[in-house]
Amino acid sequence: MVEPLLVTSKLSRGFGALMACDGVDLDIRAGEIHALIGPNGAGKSTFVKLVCGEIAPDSGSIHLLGKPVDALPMTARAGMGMARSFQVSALAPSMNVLDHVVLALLPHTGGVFHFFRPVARERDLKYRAEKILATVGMLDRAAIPVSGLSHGERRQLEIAIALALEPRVLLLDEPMAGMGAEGSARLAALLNELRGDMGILLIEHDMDTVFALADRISVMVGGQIVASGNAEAIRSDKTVQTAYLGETP
Amino acid sequence: MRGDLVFTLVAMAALLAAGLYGYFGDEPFVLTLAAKAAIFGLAGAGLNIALGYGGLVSLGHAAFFGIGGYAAGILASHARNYEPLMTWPVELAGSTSAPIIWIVAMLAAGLFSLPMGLLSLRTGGVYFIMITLAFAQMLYYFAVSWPAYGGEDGLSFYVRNEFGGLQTMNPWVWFLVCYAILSVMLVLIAVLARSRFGLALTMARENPLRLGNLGIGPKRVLLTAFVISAVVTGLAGALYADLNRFVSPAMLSWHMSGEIMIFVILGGVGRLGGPVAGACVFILLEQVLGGFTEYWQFLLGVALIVIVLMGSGGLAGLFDRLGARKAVHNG
Repeated sequence: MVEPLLVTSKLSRGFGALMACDGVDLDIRAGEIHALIGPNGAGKSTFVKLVCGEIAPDSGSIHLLGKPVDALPMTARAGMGMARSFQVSALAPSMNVLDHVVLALLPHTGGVFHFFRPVARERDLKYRAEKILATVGMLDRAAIPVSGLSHGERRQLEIAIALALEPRVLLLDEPMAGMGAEGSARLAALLNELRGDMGILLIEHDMDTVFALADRISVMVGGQIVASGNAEAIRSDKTVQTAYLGETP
Repeated sequence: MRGDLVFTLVAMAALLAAGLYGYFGDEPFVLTLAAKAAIFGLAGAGLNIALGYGGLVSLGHAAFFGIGGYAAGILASHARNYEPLMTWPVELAGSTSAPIIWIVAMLAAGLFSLPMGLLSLRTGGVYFIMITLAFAQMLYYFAVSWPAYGGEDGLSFYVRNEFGGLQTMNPWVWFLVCYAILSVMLVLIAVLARSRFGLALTMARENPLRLGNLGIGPKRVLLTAFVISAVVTGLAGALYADLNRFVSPAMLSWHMSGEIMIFVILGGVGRLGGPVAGACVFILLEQVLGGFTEYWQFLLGVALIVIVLMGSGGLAGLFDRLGARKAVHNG
């Protein structure tokens, strides 16, 4: 079997008495969408923050592309090919849409420590950024500053930024939250297309989307993974039904 | 972006007009004031890189202004007394050549800003303000208590330093030198703001977490901006020492830091021409209000409060809104 792109083992992090993440073993393989579901406060976002390096775990370890990354800061992990979309959009309000994507392209194309050449004149960057914006259906919004975007459009831009990083592992924390039905459907189709190139961890509340897209599903409750498997296995799992899917027959 | 350019051109044109008035009206005092405005504008433009583009509220930029000033004063005094700066390990003589002094001033300010920025950037918000202030005050008390270069009394030199074959003691020539340097620096800053680095700096200001997530360390970007900012303000300090042919610890004090910050806020934070407009208006108020009362700074405070309360953006913001209203009127 091919080694997974991302492996966490016994990953734990507490906040005071609360164990937000309690010994989580999870892996993401190339070419799959691995959905992480669970009720609010289950620790899903904490897990994402631990994996990308925003916060440090109390114990446990993370391997990215076969190498331990526990000691590496967020920027180094990002440099190895891990991208993340934020649950709450993390964008610069005064910067326009195109510039966000261009900025995301810079680390792989020579870095940001260039002081004289106008970045707008770098045609190659502009072309690539526009292509990515077209992929997420935002090309017509390229010149709009982020402060003028709707919530759903900001979510779309988050995805575009993540794609610009050409990641091996993509962590999506509720990418569809606040998007309309049309936007969600388009994003689902996009994720379906992207699946072949990278491993995707998808945190999502909409069960229809999750069951339609995910190759594997892990269920998190109270900081622990209580079940993991394909859609069929999760649907029929007794603990999952009582703990989480209880409201749906 | 276009509004920014127009505003900058208007501010620079106003400054040039003041200079021309001084030259053709034969008012050397006005020329000196115009040169002072250009220098203060340059100091503010330096701070604006950190404060406006990088969001770093530094209350320690007097340190760089003063370092630039002392670099000019120390080099010149050594050259005029024919004492070498140091004799070991290599013999270094002083200099009265302005370009050399400018380069030394910029290097010295940049070198000092590196550890200062490195330590200050470990904090944020109000702590950043306090640490930058502490660094500058440290330098201030050092200058006060160091007798070699005049201590509290400062250091004066009789002639301005030499630049090519120019008559730098002529107020008109000196104004043009300062004005030209300011122009070149503003162009460089405009170029910087549009470069890759400028893009990263915007994100470092508005969302450092996101920048880190893109694989770009926000601290490195901010530190670089802080050093560039210090270098520009250091150059302004060297020009200021030459303008007065005098440098004293006052250039290093927190009053100076506050004044530089006032130029930026008055003119428009993060606006290219903002510090120039701010410095011009500051000096104008100082002269006009100073004629009425010796408590002119009270009135300056009132003016500052009014401008800040009238909405963000200072004079540049005011200019934008006037332009927008006119556009509506004409349309």
